[in-house]
Amino acid sequence: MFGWTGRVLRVNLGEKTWKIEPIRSEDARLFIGARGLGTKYYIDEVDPTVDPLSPENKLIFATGPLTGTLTTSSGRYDVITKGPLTGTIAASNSGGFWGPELKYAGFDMVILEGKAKAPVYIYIYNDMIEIRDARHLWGKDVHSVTDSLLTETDSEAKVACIGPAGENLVKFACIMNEKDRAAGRSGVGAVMGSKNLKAIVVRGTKGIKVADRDAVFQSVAAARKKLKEHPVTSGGLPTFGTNVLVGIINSAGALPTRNFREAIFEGADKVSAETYNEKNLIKNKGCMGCPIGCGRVAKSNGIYVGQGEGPEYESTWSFGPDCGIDDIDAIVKANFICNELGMDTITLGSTIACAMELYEMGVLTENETGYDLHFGNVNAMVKLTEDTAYRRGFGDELAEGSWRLAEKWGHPELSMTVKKQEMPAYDPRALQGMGLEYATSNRGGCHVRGYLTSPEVLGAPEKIDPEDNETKPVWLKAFQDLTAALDSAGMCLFTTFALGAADIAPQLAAVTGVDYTEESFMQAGDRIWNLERLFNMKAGLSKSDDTLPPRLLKDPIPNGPMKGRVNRLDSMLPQYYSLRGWNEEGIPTEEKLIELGLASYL
Amino acid sequence: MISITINGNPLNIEAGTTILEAAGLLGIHIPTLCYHPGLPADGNCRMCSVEIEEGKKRKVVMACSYPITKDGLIIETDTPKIYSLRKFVLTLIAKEAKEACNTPVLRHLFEKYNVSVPTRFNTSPDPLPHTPLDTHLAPPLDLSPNPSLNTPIDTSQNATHDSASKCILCGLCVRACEAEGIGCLDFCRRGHLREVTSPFKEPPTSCIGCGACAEVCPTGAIEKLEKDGVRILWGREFQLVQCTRCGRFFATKEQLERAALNYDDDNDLSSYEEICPQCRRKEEAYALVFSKVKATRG
Amino acid sequence: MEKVLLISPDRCIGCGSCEVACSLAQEGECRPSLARIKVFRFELGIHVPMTCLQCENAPCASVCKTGALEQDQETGIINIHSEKCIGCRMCVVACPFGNISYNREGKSAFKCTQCDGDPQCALFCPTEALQYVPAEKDNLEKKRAYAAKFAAIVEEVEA
Repeated sequence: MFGWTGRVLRVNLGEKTWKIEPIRSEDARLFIGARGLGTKYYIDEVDPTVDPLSPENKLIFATGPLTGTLTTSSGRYDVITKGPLTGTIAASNSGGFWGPELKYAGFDMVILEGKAKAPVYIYIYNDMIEIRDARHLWGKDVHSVTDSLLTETDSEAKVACIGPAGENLVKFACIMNEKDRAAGRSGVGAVMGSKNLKAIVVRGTKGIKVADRDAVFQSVAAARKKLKEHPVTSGGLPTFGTNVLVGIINSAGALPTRNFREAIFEGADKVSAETYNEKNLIKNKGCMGCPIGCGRVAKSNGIYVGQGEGPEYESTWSFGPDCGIDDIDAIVKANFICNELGMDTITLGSTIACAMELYEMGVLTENETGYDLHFGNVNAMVKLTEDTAYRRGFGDELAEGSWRLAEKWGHPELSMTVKKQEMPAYDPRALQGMGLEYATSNRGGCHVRGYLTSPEVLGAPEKIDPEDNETKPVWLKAFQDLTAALDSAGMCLFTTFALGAADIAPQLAAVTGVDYTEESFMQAGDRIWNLERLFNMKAGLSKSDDTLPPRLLKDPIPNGPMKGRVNRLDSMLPQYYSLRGWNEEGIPTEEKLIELGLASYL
Repeated sequence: MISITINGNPLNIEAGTTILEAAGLLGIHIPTLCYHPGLPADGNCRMCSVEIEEGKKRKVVMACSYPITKDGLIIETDTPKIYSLRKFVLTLIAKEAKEACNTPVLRHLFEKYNVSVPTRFNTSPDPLPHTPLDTHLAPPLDLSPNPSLNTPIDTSQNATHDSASKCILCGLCVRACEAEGIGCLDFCRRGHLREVTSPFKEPPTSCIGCGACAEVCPTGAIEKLEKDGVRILWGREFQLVQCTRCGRFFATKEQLERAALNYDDDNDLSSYEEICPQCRRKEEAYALVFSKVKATRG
Repeated sequence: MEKVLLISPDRCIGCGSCEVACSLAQEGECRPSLARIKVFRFELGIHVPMTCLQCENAPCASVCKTGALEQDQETGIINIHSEKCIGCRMCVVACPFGNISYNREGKSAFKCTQCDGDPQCALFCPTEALQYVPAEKDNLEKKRAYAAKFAAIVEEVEA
């Protein structure tokens, strides 16, 4: 096989056994890899009503056929499971070098089953697989665990691990690789912790074959050229990272502030990319094979001194404007803490913001929170970040996510979530398309599944009116399908600022030798999207979950350039359903499933 | 330049080119067992036999060691006579070299020349000295496992129990050691007792433990074992030098001493001797950035 | 016009594209462990790509007894004739910079030979941390003295 290694490693943690299986190549062709193929395996093997933190749940680490090849920005892999935070399918994507190393060891996927009796880690060195004792690492943070494991195994190995948050089953615990890259959302780290699995260490010295070497060189060179010529991928992202969006989104009047009460932030300059570059940035870096290099090596100063990587825009937002905080060092520090302890920054920041609103309403008092938890309390934000990983004090409640917190205290409408996952840094009242994306994303409030901010604000590939709602369903389906296929190939989303299916399908075809075209690539994305939807339906979700919090549908933005707007979801959703080939209840029709080759799921 | 013909194909070559080299220029494959492009040809295995026509005379010569000097030479590499000659050689090997029959190099030739392997040695083929990718445990580079680990012995270098009976007396190991400038291997005895060994069949004192002999051996007859920082070759135990940075074992002291002979007073190897190649590279990379002058080593 | 492979570590973002491009071009598969170039990733986002710098009077070539390593007198590049390698690894031991390795599968030493004049690493480096540039005569002379090599061809980095 080309691109794919053709082998899957299946580990039974309870019995400490493993076996190597050949990949199902027909499925690989149809679902590509990573997100798509991992989801296919998952949905075929796991009961959708499973308790995500039970031993019956499975955890799949899946790479794509492009992962680790020369193709543009293809260091990506996905972690697939049922999300403890959301109860939906979760496919959490991460970059860095762990995914490529798994391919070099000769595996496309690792499937984890059962639960180990005591903490363990898995060490994969080409064909040598070992399940080793990890009791000496349990309780330790991501950075020190990674260093220890590199000494115990191989200095060139790559480590994916959880921190204390995953061990403590924080609902939004994440999995970190190379210390600072995150498979961030939906609580995949908690699933790993529930299995007593501390880390997967991988070292590989084999190679990935490609079908047509000359075509690979050509298509990659052409794609790189486009990335080098686009202002976002060759200018904005390498220089400023994703933080460049702070200023842009604020100017667009779409920067959710204080738990989405407002949509512009008076302290935006203090947390902008320019400020960050001056005070915090050390250097940029890139993931495997990436010509963009948006990674941030950084430090925090003053009383919040620290060193690490990040934050990304959404993380800056969640600890910053969403909490009414404009102290960049505190925000950067909170991000470092999340990296070291293994937590999703978006969910955590937004949960703290929700708690802040409940506090200001008087629903929560200092008795419960331990702090004077008004918006803007920097110290409380930083302290609670750490407390949450250890479920200490009020951190224990925050560890459940904003939906469970708000519901417990009688105000679920104050949780800015969809399907129990927190929406990040784009106010859907200002950007209609993002509202539709949040409502329909298969893993709950998520911006990357269909990043309509790109056309609505950044003008890539072209500028569309953020207020218009007629064409949004068309745009969204295209973005969601492209992203699904792209994620499944193992390539990074950020290439799509400059590249489209016409640039990606040739690279995929050159590597795999499968005759992917623009159309079949997009259709694969559609197929994957529908598969995820089917899982969610079987897991108990329905049309009623495709919605937004009442504040975003009814309370107009009070200030800024988008003052007076709400999100008009009802005017877009029906068209979206029909465009997707779903009935009025949002369920894929028989016709649609047959078209996509998913008839067996009827 | 001389004009010749090989299997009917005309070719112009420089005088002194061997038949084997000339055939290679035309893409014509001639089988060999005792030939290595980096070592002097010996012509002892007889597999590269070819027929030549010099005027009216026909004779069989060894392609690897026959330099072409006569213009108009006609060469045939696959006549029936040559086929039966090679088959005969292989039959003798099959009867004499016992375990060698199982090695892929010979099995391939046996198939092509229709030689039946004596049944009691017809077991499944050994992996090649370099095992195929899918089942290959050790990495392609000489990265010995982290010494603090419980990893298996590195046996990818041809170790078997009965490896001596894989020897087909091609002498590549002898020539490799000679080329290296050591020369501690040679043939001894005659007839069916002939074998390759070290002086007095004792662990060779001048051996530097480089293992080139094991690398060039076509049938994996030479055992090069490594375990816990000790390399065993021809019965001699070499304490491998341990990298002072990463702890890996990477070469014998004798190899390092020999390499140092190539340095002059201006540039010497002494400051690198106890550092493995991977760490040397890493340290140079580090020194590049963190100091403008090369870092000194303690 | 002679060219050299210029390394500027301050521009390196550690993406490793050079390793994959090299191995794909030289070995036919995406296999960084057999790349002739290697990226070292240090603390604080400092990355350094390292490869053979084609030393004058190269120790690897002088220690090779079969002629598998041969220094081209004109270009200064030390080329490899893989078929002549007998696997003694003396070159690996002799290189002070660890820039030559031995491939046990292919049974040959391997090192950078600048892809016959079109180094793929430089072609695929996104930030020009690797460049294939014409050599100034002065630079070239300095380049060939391997003890002073690094000071000459690597741009200074403000760490």
